[in-house]
Amino acid sequence: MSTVLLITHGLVAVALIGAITHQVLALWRTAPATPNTFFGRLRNVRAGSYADAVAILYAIDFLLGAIIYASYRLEVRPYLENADLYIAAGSFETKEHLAALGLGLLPAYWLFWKAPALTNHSTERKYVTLLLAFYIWWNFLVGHVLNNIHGLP
Amino acid sequence: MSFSPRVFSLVFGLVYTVAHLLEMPLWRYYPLVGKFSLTDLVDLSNGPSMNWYGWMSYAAIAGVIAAVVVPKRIDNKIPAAVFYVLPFVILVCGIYTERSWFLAPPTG
Repeated sequence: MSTVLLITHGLVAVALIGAITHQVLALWRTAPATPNTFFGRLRNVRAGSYADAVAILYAIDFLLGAIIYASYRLEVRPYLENADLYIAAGSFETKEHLAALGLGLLPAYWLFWKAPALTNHSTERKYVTLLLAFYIWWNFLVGHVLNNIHGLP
Repeated sequence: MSFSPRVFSLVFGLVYTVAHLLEMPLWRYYPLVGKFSLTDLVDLSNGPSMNWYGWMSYAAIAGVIAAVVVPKRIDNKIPAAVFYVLPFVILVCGIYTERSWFLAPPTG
């Protein structure tokens, strides 16, 4: 069961990475996107249209992660500690904090994108989105590397 | 009565960080035996405890209360920079608290 949840957690994370990366690149572009290039197409999207997807995918992925976290604590972390892989174990500890902080940030993120009265708050929107993107990328990479070191049974 | 997502996000991050710094979860989960406890069960046969859910519980409760209680006029006066500076400071605190894993790994 843990394996099924872990794979689903990873797949949802891939979709989330895609959505937030499109959004950040579109939001932070300083010049008009060059058409007909890969990078141009990547950032030539309506950033706001990804807000709902990011919020929903984040919540789902967080929930899946919270469920399988207990298996990690029992099966993977003792392995990491016994193998003296403290940086890997520590990276996961930061991942848990970033996941929680990202969840807390989600309501403000969603509001900055969705509330019509706040449409002029573009600075908050840009930085909060960038911060959330950092959380998501960090957690994705750490989770991926740790799974390579020792997957869930 | 209204709910302010902005206040919720600020208070959630702050309370989570404080609860973690003080090692003060609302409750603990012992995955080996499937037990939940409001206190630290010192019996080693219970296996490791997980505090993360308990820190988040504190943060969520405090966030919801603050988001409902803080009046809209005060919410509107919160400077814009707070919404990106504070989460960044909280992020740095969160990473700092785990520095021992990277700088001085436990021995023995």
